[in-house]
Amino acid sequence: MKGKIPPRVPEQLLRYLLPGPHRDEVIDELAHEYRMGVEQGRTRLGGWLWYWGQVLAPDTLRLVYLLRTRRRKSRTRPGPRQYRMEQAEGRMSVESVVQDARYALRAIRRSPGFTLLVLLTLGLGIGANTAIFSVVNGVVLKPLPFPDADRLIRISEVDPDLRDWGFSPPNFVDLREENTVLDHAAAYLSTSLTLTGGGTPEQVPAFLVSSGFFELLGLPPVLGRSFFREEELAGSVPVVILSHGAWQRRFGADPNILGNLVLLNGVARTIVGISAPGLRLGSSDPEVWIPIGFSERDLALRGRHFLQGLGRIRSDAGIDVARESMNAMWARMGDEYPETNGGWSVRATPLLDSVIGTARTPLLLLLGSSGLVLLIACANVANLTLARAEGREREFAIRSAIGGSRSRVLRQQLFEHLALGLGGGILGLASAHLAMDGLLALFQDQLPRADQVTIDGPVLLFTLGASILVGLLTSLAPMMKGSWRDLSGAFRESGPGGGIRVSRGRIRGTFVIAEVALSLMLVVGTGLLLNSFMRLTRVELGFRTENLLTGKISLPQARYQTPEEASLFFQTLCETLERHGEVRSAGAVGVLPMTLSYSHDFSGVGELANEEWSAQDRLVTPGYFRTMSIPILAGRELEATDDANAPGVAILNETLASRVFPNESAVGKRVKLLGFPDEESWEVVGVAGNTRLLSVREDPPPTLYRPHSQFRPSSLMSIVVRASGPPEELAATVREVVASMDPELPVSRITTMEAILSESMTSDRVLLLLLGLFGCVAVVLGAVGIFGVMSYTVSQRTREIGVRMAVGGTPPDVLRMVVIQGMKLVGLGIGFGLLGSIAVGRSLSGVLFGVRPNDPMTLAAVVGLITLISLAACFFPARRAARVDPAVSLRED
Amino acid sequence: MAMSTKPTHLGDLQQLTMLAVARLGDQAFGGAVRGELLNVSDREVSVSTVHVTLVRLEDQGLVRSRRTEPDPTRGGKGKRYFEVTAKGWEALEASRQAQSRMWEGVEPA
Repeated sequence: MKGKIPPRVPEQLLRYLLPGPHRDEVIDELAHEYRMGVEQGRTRLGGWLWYWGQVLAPDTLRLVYLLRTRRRKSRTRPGPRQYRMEQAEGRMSVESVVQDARYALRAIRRSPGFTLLVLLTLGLGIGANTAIFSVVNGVVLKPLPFPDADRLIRISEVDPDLRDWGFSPPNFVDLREENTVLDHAAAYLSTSLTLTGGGTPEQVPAFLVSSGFFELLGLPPVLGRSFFREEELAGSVPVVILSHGAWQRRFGADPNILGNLVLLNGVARTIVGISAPGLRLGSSDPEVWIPIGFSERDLALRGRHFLQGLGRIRSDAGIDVARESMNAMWARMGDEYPETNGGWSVRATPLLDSVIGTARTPLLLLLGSSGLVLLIACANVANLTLARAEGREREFAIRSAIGGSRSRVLRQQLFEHLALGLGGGILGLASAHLAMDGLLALFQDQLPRADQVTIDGPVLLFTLGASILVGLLTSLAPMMKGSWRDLSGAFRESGPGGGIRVSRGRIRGTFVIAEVALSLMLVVGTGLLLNSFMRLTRVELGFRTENLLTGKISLPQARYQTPEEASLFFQTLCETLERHGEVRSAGAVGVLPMTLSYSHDFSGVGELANEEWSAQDRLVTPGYFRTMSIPILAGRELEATDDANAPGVAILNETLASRVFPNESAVGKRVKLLGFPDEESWEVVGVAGNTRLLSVREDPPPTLYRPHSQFRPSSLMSIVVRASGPPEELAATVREVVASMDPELPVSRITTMEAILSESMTSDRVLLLLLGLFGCVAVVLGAVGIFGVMSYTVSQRTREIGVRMAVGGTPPDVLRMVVIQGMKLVGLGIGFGLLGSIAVGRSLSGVLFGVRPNDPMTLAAVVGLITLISLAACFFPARRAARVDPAVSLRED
Repeated sequence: MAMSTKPTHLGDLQQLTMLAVARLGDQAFGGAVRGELLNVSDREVSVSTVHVTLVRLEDQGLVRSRRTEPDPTRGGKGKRYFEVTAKGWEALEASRQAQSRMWEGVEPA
């Protein structure tokens, strides 16, 4: 028959809202209706929904309003009797609410020390949560700054082995022309170009885009026009669109800028437009946009996948429909061009997801752990108020004796805590605001959409919600224990020396257990991350990072037209640098380690021609291996004589060599780019040691090194310089040497290899740092909590302890007794905390390196640490207990 | 309070509610009124709607209520019974006359 009782919560709500006799009538009638409904076969859920519907119906609210305003009208000023009756009924009238709020504020003012402590604790907890949430909000939750951004998708081609690739130009053009599910499709490439004119030449981030790019994003240029379809072909009139920022910074927002020329990589381009402000994708913030420049060859080769694809889904299609339709199209293309498209498909992901990328996990982890800190802070504050409520017991007892109802007292306490929570929220908001710049700086530009992180509406709402929640949570404990005991008991027991009540001790004990458990979880998380981070920094990279300076040089094709010119440039540069006293050696590489992945498919020759393997592909100068300290394990190094006129050579790394030529020496074998004729193969002249190229975490990938001089060199190379001292001091030298060779050539991103390495581990470091900070705060708050509870217990038990001592107990006995009492709670907390740590480990498993989520060493160390700190927190109150003078404590009665 | 001496204009639900109160005589409490509305006029209204209507009518002086002594069988809660006031009868009568005047000369199609 349980189902016949109406749902409690809405019924209580109604009871609370409606005054007087109407309350009982309406509730009775609703209960009757509810039972009828159940008898007629309404389900539990159906009944529940029905009841809530009744409570929240407009007519109910109207009834509440009518009756309440009517009551107010009928009453001018409450006489004492009426006021008391109202109190006894515990109902909320406007006057009494205001009165309670005032009373709460007075109570807060009365104990400034307590208030300050609470505000600081809560401010810390709420501040941490506000700061982290504003980052999560800006990076993960906010939509991208484009109209209907939820319809934007990133599209990539997927090979038969399900690896992601960019689009090949013909496949992209086919998609754009033939799809039925996209309003727009566009392609782009992110690169950097040398901007000349007006001061020193500078390397600026640039996007090469297809026509329709701006239309797809929904943000047309604010000045001028976007690119025409015919402009995306190579050989068309060179044009450029400047970013809004570049227009303002470089050209003083000149409104007559259109039609002017800028020199990009040596090509004069006409400015035809200014892009909308804030137009960026993820962390790349291009200064110039130029047409992608498809050559006829580009448009003929379906196998070259290098374009980033974007799409805007039609409003009548969802992403699943779009996926299905595009994949059907790719299946048809696979039939039509089996050798290049057979087995290929398309992957479409919401653009927002692809922009956020891997930032989501660490941010959510941080939000979770800051939440744990807030819970600990709440437990501490609840504990403090509990202790304070003991002192106020007489006050509450007196108030109920003169007719103050239980609910009225509870309400005042609730208001007090809400006020404290809101105060903590304001403090937290202020501290989050102050900490925000520092927090963002920690991420070192590695955070996508960092520009979107501000304290705005949603963040304020979050903070308000957190403050109210904190107010409710911290008021629960005193409410549970306080204010309804029988009055005589309260009067009797609130004198000094009264025994400790079991129920109260249990609530306090629960707080200690919770605090220990939560801090343990956070510290376990920190420990696991620390362990993992230490392993990361100790990983054998395969090259030495110390004293290594790097910088990017992009040779404009307009001035370095032949491969010989380009290779001569880098050869001369390295030789000139090596003549400098501080330079041990110098070299250049196409793509630096820890930055990008750049791979090709290769094969052997002859009978091995059908064996394909994918490997990282690095163009290097002869000095590269020496400069990076990469050992040559077999064969020889590259030499200056391996130039365009000499036979083609290559060096494999150990992994690649043993994979392609297992059980035999790779030296002397031949390899080639997949699909090229055997005559264009190269001889393997050496085997180099393995190096980690993609990230510290990833095992050394199979890698193939080719001499820069034997191929049409990539115009963008990075130089590496091994210094004999601090590498930063060589930056000026490098710039001077380059300027002496070509005054118009900039060197961009001059930085040390250690900085690049450190940047590649930014998210690991930030996570460790912040979680470590939270862990410390948690431990301190937890220790304070234990200390407070034990001190309180000791002070409550003074008389008992005095008796023990009087009948022959020794100070060590007392010490042991108190410590054991405390450590029992700590032990329980550790037990629960270890259970919680399983969840912590599991949620961290994705970011850990070389450490198992339940690493026993870490767990043991953390348990040891928490035990030690807890022992200390118990020891001091226990020592005080042991010093109790029985004569004094017994005389107190 | 009253701004005009004209009888108060009654809404449809108000009329029906007052008639239900009148029909029920000394048994006119909220739940019964709701039952009467359902049984006689085939109008299903929610609990709170009936109470809102009654409270409004009472505020306009068209019905008045009295509380009974707590009923021993109902856990000591009293009930509120309604009756139509003289002003209420006046308004009902005015509404009926208005309606019959409007019906004059109208033939249902």
